Amino acid sequence: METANGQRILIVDDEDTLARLMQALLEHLGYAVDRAADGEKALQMGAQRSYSAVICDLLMPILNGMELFRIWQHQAPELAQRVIFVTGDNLGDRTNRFVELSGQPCLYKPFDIKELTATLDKVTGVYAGS
Amino acid sequence: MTLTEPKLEGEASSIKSRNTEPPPAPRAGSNERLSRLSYEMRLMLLGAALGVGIVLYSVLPAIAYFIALTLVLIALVAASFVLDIRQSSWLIGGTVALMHVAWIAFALQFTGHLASPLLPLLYLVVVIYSIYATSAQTGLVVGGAVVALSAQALVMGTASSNVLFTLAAHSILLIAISWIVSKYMTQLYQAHNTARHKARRYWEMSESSDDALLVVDPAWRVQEANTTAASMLGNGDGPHLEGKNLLELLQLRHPERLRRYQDQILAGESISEILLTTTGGNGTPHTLLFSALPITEESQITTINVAIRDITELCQTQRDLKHLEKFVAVRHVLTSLGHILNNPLATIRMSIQVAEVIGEEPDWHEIVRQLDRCDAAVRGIEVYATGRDEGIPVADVNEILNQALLLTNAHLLITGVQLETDIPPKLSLAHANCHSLFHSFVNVITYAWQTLEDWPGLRKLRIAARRRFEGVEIVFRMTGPSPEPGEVPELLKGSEAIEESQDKFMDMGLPVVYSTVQQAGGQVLVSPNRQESGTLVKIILPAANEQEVEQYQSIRGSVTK
Repeated sequence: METANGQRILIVDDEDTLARLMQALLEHLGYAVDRAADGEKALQMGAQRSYSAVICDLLMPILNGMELFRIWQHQAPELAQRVIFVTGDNLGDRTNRFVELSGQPCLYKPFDIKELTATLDKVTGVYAGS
Repeated sequence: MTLTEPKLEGEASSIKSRNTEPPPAPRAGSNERLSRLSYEMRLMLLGAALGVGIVLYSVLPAIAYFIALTLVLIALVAASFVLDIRQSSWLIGGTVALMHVAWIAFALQFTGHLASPLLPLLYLVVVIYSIYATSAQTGLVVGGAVVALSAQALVMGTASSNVLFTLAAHSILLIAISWIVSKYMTQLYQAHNTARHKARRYWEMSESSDDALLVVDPAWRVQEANTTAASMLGNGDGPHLEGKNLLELLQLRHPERLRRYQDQILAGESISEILLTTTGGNGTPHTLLFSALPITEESQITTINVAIRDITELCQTQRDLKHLEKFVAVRHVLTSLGHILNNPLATIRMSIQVAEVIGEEPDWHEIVRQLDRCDAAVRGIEVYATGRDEGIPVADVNEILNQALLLTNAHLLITGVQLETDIPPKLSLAHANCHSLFHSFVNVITYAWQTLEDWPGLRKLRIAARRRFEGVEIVFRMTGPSPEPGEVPELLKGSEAIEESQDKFMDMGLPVVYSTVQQAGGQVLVSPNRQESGTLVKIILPAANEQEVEQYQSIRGSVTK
């Protein structure tokens, strides 16, 4: 697998174990990784730092992924374009409708790490290119 | 709906079935529709009047002639009543014709010649118009007569004041009588016409109704019935219903319900309607909506109007809808389950793959923990789907609340509902069916997220539980729209369908909660959330007794082993 050149990724997920595992993987691949357990923390971190990509769970307490994305669409549209959604709500109409309308990639749990890295490459590649 | 129609002149007042010929159409006011017989009769009467006038004049002195003329006029009026002739125009025409005769008589007597040949023509025009008039044009006819008389007086001159006096007296009297009679008869005719129109409309409405409409006497014997009633209660043959008792005609499964209703109606109690189940001719059950309206005269119930609607198809549709709702509910549950399982599955997969990439041993403890999460979710769904429980009415409220939250948490998150819990770790074991209680909790939480799904304000659900005297109290406090005071009981009250439901564990909604908790001897209170807008659902469950607790613990022990 290719490694990233110090690009910074933000993982937003209330599933602590899964978030930690993704962090370990991405750090192993050369990314710098920050974690947030809910949307509110992610919002603060997004305002403080620039991220090459944001891996964002959709269903979280306090401020969920959908609300976070909508805020970023208004406040930080460039960051909103670098969001990769992850969700376990694979059958939910509301979730699927939202993902479709957002135009952002989404990984449905349980996803393969190849899917994750491929999607991440795509998003960060676009970012690097732009 | 009132069945009794106004009784019209000439109509039979006896019992009649409504599926016979419609009443005749009202007689039209236009001349084209007048019968030939009626027209001829009018001409004959006019001729008779002329003849009588001439004869009377030739044989009677002036004062006697005047009286006789008046009597003839009264006779004509009386004849119009007897013959039921509603057009008063012919009467006025006849009156004017008599006046014409009188004029000829007076003119010949006092002047020896006809003053002007135009005057009879003028009268003739008025008479013809009055005969052919489509309705009683009183003003025009009488006005014409007045003009004619005035012209006559002018032409004749004032040679004889006696002539003028007599003419004036005749004119005033005849005009007054004509006007009064004509006006009265026109009103009578119009009223009669309106009544017939209404009767016809009423008949058509009654016959085209899909409801069975009947008029019964206070002993509930049928007096009248429409076609639908005849077909619903018999073999489509109306008259055989007459005189029969309605209770006997309806082959009810529970006749005592209707008897009670009938007693209440006769006692003057206001009751809207009741649901009845009958066994039709082919043994198929029918659901009927039965309502009765007593008609009183001088404080006595004389008749009762009954409306019966067959709502069998409607009930079937409602049942189908209920099934559809169940499918939707199952879909929600499956979606939740998918979400619950996908998170631990994703973690397990990631653990193994990341370990491979990094070259380390996977965290087997973490993997087992994630498998336990999957196991708990599957157990929860098993309880929900099959109703499997311990077989005794004892429920661990902590465990059941946790399972219900596990199942519904995804939906709370999707809909952005903030969940706050205040549940002590050791609540009393409650006296309730474990599965039903689980189902009830899921229903209340589902009700919360469904209510809050499109709520623009704060979306919050707070669940608090407490030991309370000899039981457990669980309070679900949710934001969102507040129920209206009158809405609260309806929100909770189960319909009869719920009570009779064979598979009610799959029903969604608060009525199930009400039913479950009541069966356990507990209470459900629903009220507006006073702290914030929204709804507060409070469930109070009695504690399990010692024997039940022992039994439960022994079973749990054996299950664990």
